[in-house]
Amino acid sequence: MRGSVRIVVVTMALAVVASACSSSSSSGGDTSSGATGTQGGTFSVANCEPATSLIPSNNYEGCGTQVFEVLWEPLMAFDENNNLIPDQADSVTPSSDGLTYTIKLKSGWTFHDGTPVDAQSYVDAWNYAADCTNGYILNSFFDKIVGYSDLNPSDCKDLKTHELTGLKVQDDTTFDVKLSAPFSQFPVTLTFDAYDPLPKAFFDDPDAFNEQPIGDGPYMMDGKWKHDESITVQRYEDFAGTPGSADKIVLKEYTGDAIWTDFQAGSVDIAPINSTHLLEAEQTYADSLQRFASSSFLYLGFPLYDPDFQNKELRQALSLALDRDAVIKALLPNETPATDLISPAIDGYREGACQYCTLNVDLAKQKFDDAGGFSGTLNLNIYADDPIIEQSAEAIRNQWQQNLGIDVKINAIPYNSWYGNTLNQKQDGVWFLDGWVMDYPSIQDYLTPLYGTTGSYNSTGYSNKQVDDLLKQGDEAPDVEAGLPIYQQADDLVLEDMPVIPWGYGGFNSVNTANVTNVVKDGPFDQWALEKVQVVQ
Amino acid sequence: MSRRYLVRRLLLLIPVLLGVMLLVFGMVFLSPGDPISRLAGNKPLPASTVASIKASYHLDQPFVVQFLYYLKGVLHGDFGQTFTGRSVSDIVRERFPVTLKLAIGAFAIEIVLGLSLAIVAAMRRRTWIDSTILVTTLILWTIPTLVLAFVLQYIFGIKLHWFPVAGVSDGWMSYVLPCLTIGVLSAASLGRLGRSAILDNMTGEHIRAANARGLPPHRVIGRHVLKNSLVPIVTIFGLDLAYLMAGAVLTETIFNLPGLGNALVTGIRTQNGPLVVGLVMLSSIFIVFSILVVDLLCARIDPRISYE
Repeated sequence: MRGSVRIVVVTMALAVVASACSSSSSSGGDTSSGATGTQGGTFSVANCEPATSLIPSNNYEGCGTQVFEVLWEPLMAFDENNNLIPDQADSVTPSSDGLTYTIKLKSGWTFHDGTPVDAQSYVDAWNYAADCTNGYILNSFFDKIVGYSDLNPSDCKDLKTHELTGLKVQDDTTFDVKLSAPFSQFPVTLTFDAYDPLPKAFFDDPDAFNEQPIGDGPYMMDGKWKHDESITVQRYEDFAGTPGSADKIVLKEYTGDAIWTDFQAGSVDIAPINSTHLLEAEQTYADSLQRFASSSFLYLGFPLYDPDFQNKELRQALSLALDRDAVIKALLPNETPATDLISPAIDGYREGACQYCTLNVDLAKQKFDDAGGFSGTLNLNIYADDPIIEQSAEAIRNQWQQNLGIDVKINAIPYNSWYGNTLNQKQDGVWFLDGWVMDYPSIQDYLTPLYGTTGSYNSTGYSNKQVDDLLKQGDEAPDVEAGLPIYQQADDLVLEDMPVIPWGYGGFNSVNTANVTNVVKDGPFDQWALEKVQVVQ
Repeated sequence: MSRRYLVRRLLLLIPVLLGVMLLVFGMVFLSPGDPISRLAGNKPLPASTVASIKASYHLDQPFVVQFLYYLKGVLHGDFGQTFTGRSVSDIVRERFPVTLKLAIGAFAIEIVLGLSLAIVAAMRRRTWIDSTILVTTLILWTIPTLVLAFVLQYIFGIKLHWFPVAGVSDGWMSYVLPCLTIGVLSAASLGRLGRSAILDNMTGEHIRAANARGLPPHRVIGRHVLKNSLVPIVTIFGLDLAYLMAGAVLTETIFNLPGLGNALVTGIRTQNGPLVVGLVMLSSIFIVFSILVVDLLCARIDPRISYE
């Protein structure tokens, strides 16, 4: 989209000449101190159309999760200091063998239709999502619970049961979850909305529920989901937790770049900023621009199933020969260079954990020679139709050619084919740019799926028994915190083996108008905590 | 022209539509990549879930069987469900009014502005008015939709705050800028073409005779010239309207209008087969019908044109 930026700049210049006076900063976030908002008011936030569904266990993208953030309250959450605390749950206690978790709910909580939030509403919701016949896409989030495989034969036929045997309701506010193996990070997973409860109204008519979901969070639906237009929510007055600040929130749905123009026109109060407009935003909206590292981890993948790439020192050399800072600064201002396998937003991140992630041409050359160089042409496979990716790939190619003297060829194929090759281990070279977005904010979620031998997204073919053992040890740790140093050891091993070249972290950036204050990120999640946003009165 | 011709033209629609359906269905469903496994972003779905979803959309069947299922649905008015569970007919029904309003608005601007430019230029040919119109329309014609859209958004939306720049939540005001974008650019080309058509007809002997008989200029133009120039103009109208109804993709995206064009882009991007096929079918129907209507109208206007 860079071409259109230039066009806009030129036409803007013409328009300024044509119109008489120059503009002072009319819009833009002058969040003047002292103007604290109180409860009340309406504001709007830019969102996108949730493609799949407004049921928490059937929607994965940010378009949906931002809505769930106000409509539901998860079992666990992170406080302002990023500590894990119980939220809708009163407590989540593991048994001594770490296999069974007793979840006690806070009493007195109700759904937006007045029905109580009880243990049964959780168990019913979890069973529904775990059942493959319903085809819910977050089905795999329940795969650690005993009984999951009975609900998920690979052809999804002839199911004998539709309930997870590992879930047991003890009383109205208590239920037990039995896992098939110890998993110290289980409480962290409960911060994710896939585990939200559902009222009886859902089971009566899931399709109608989808159009006007009933949750248990600080806001409730105000009217139906206006497809492709907006979702409006209003404060739920009987909410048992901390009430939301604004009276109403309008989540306006956009496809494409219209967000930016609408924000400049002042029609939407909070908007995300992507690479295209970041530099512009830094100039014009510096007051309200907030930049966070998102939870996304971006990397180049190595096909370890290809003999050409099986030498560790070659892979390290290729990583050392890259000047991420320069490329990211020039082409991808939204990103920050990666120095660890996990995002800075996650507990357990260590800056500089990666030994081979900053430019060091001499060391790169040395390792390259030690590895015996690279014969023939190195294929750099990218997905087509993204000019920024193409330019970045050109820069990478130049760096490898200059610094290591390798002949690099860039191959661009359509995204779906590229993605298929990645998943099915058919890449014939290094691929760029792959990314991993976390399911739940745990270091384990960045390691096991990608680098565990049986990881669900292990597309490189990496397999290291020591890493597998460490990951298992981390899972068997007595609690969330105790697992951290063990996972970090695994992190170090993987960084040394370098099955992927850590490239960068995506950015979650936002701007807001002067109509709102207290625009904060929802902890480690790439969304805003909308219930905290205050409308300036 | 004969009723037989009309019936024959209408019947010909059926094989055309079937052919389009098969072609688009093939392109979408036989292309590489698996839209189902991507429903959860870049996290592959478990095999059981994929199997369940595929079974409900018959994706586990051979291509011919899938096509026949689809055909059966169409004959019952059911254009299938998108891979995310929404009925294609619902989506079309929701989005159609937006595209319709955009099309009608743009069309109105195109007719009024375009025809006025054409008539004035033709009547005042070889004067400075004519030259101005020619130059202006030439410049407008070369401006890409993208540029005009952004300029209008910037001037009238961001700077002057006269009109909203995105969405449809402000009633008819939301459509002003998008309709202007399309309308002005189409009016430019219509103006030039119309001017040529009118000029061609103004030099005929019948016009000289009418002028000689003392008919006032507006009668000459209105009754004699225009009617004859209408054939090329109506042809353009018809095709323009058809393409507009198919959804002005670029404009809808820039102004964030939830219309059919926008839906098509999203559908293609997410490889949502049923949605893409349904939308393309709809566009084909519009276009084919428009061509038929234009042909019939032209035959009405100009008796020299006749069909067997």
